[in-house]
Amino acid sequence: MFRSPERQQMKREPIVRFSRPETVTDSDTGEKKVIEKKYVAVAGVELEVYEGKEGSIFKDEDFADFSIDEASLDLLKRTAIAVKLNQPLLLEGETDIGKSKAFEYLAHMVNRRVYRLSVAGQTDVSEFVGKYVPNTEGTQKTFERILRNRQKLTQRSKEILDNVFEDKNRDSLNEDECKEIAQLEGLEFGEKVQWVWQDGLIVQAMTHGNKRGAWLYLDELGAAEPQIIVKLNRIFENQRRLEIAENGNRLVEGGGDFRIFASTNPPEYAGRLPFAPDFLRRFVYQKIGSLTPNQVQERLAFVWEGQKTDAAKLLKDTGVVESEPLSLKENPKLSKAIRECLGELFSQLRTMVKDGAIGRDQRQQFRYEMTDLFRIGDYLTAFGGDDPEKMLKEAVKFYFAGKLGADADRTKVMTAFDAVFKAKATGKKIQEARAPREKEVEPPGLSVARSEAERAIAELAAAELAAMEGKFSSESGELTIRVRELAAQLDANINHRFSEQGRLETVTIKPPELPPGLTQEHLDTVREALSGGKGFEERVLPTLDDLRNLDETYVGAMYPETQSEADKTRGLVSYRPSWWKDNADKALSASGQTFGAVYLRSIRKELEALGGSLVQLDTATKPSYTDGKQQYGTKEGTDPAADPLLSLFKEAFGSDANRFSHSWDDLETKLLPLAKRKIAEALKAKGLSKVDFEVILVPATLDNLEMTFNHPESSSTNTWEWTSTTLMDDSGNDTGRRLVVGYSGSGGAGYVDYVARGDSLGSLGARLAVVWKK
Amino acid sequence: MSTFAPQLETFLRALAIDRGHLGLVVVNKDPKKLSLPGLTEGAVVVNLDAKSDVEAALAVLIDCAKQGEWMRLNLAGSTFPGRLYNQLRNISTMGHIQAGQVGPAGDVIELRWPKESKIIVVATQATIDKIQVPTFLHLFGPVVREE
Repeated sequence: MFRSPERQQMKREPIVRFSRPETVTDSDTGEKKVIEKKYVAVAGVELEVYEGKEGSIFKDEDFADFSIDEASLDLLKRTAIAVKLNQPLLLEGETDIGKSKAFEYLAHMVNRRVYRLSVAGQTDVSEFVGKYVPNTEGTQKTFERILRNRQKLTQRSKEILDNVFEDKNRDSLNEDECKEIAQLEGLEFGEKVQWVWQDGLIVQAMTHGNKRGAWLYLDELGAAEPQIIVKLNRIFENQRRLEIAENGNRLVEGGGDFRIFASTNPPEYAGRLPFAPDFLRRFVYQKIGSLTPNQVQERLAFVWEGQKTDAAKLLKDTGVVESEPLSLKENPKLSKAIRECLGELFSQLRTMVKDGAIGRDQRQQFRYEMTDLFRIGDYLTAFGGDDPEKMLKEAVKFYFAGKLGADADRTKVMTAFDAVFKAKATGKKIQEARAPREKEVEPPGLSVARSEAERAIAELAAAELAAMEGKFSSESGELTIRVRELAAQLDANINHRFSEQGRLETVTIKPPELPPGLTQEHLDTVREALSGGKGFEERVLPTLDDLRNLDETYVGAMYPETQSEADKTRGLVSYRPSWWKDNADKALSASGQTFGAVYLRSIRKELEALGGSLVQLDTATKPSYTDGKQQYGTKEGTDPAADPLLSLFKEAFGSDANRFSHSWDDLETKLLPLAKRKIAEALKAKGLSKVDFEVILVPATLDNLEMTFNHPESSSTNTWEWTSTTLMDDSGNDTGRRLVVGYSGSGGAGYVDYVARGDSLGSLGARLAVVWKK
Repeated sequence: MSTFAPQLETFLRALAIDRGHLGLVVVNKDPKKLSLPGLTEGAVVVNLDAKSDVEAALAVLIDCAKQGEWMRLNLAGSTFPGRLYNQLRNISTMGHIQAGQVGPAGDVIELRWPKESKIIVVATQATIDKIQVPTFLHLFGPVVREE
């Protein structure tokens, strides 16, 4: 799915940091405002970055030796899912696979404070929940010294302590008990000394940051004394509320950001007893395998040599979670299909556990519980919108297979799932349930673009298949595919997915993400104002990051140095002519840079200013050129009615005009202001909010990518197009030249050349873009 | 002791650059009598047994973090206070102290453990065997044993 540039990036990089504008309501004034929120995505799981001061106490360099490898990414992903779904996570795995460090790294990335408690070796949990102490340092020490010398205490004091110890709802002495012991042991504190309650770390975690809550990490949970586990059970019974009996039945509420995690070594470790199933069910219990010899080497390679694991391999092994939410409530048919499948699977898995078919050799026993099914529902609600079938399988793997240590057992679970899924025809039912839903939620305005989009997708699919078959002349087929992925980012409103064999599997149309204040109505109004509702598809202008900063990998793929005969006739891929490497004219580069360097510098400059902006792009077909009378809209160019912008050009340049033969200066001074005025008036007439926009000629980068990949029919014409891209000299000054693109005779729509801004050529046309600045 | 001294020197060299900051010396007799070459003058010494004031030991630990000093912890008795273990675990895994309920105000103390500060725990095998923390030995990087 290509929903947004960042989601595209998530398919290539295990950890992606990004921001996006979101509308929030001011809790005091009730006013809505748009703010830029930061996010981190771990294997596709998006988590918001907290921007308060009470966040992580660590610095990035504290994690300089943290290796993002197969094992650690798996831990990060599991933890991120638990954070996102607010489900308490218990990770069981060998010492030193990096459970604690991965957890801390995730917390640091999203700027969350962690409260860490190692429960091994604890004999009471007053440090966790809290305790009463005298309010001066001297008296506090005296009282604690007395409690430590238990053998010397009076019989009554011992009884009081024993009662607290045995009460599973109590962790420490209440105020009256403290006073009584002090009196029994002959302590004279005087009237100035008062008993005060000190919150323990768990209470601190629940109320951290002005009651927002922090992340609580219970380390080495399995190494705790049994009586401590009993006491902790009280804390887990209700994840968000804790009643402190010894502090006057005070009720502590965990804030919205409060999360609970725990880790433990396997019960095979000395001194470690398995958890009782009733305790285990409070957690999403996940069994993590040991590091394989290869994983050990992978980690050492990073720590010793700084050698990173290949991102593509990592994501292939770990998988990327799709983040689109899904409402089961609003999709009863879909919900039913999944319920039928899970109900049967649940029953089968419980029997398999009971009969010892799975988990037999596992010392940590467990049951599959209804809570597991509820959690699967949470998972699908959070992630299942794009591809519920895939997410259902992942959820079963996470919540059911994840409890099992042996590969063979996990395989049995997934085999059972596949069998039930097939027997219940769940996949077919899901597809049937989803088909009408997409129609219902289709946003206004996109229906106009639907037919064009579907055509574009069909052509894109054909081109994709051709690329897979090696018909492109790129120096590397793999690089070509990478560039095509980048091009797909432009397709903000077209989601499509290819199978591993390169077949087009699904096509859906969804709205692009809009800049602050911009609504679908704004976009529709632009279409109405300029072209009577036709054309103008939404695209996102790529950022330099998207295009790898125009490095050799990108340039090599987008503008290969040679072009095959097939590509010449298809006009699908441009190439770098030999003069790309020649020194540019002195007017362009006094320092003797090559033409290629000058082009890239100019493109880079424009993308620095506009990259990431939402663009409404005029996508009318470019005609073949013969005598200057041709119209945009069809390749033959004989049908004036086919050009939705023809009337605009006539209004700007006279009734005989069409899109050809204008200088850049004329377009800049006559056409673009006219278009901008028309849009502004239309927006005002509809009472729509004011959002900054510009009408420009299409940036060269966008034209190259768009016409090369999404509209190849515009590549096989003998015409050029002006772009907005200014050719800059060494000092960044306007050279008076503008990039022009296209022309099949020289390589297709991706081809780049330049023309002086005041010149006009018969075969040089123009295409508009409305840019909503990011 | 003469044959042990070279091993101790190697141990100290390893500990000085250890990422986990904690090392263990297993001795045959009273930990307090062990002489550590080149270190005894600078390190802050804490003797910990069943009757020791854990809060005082914790205060020393916090002070070592603030001052960037080495700490030597001589263990005796059969218990290892959970409150102190929690902080040693914090130091060994995250290089960080996070202690709650410190002082009469019950403050939460958060401190980075300095790279130059190290903790040497000295104990007999008999003492170690009595400690009821199954993961106690996971705390340590370098370990040296008196033959």
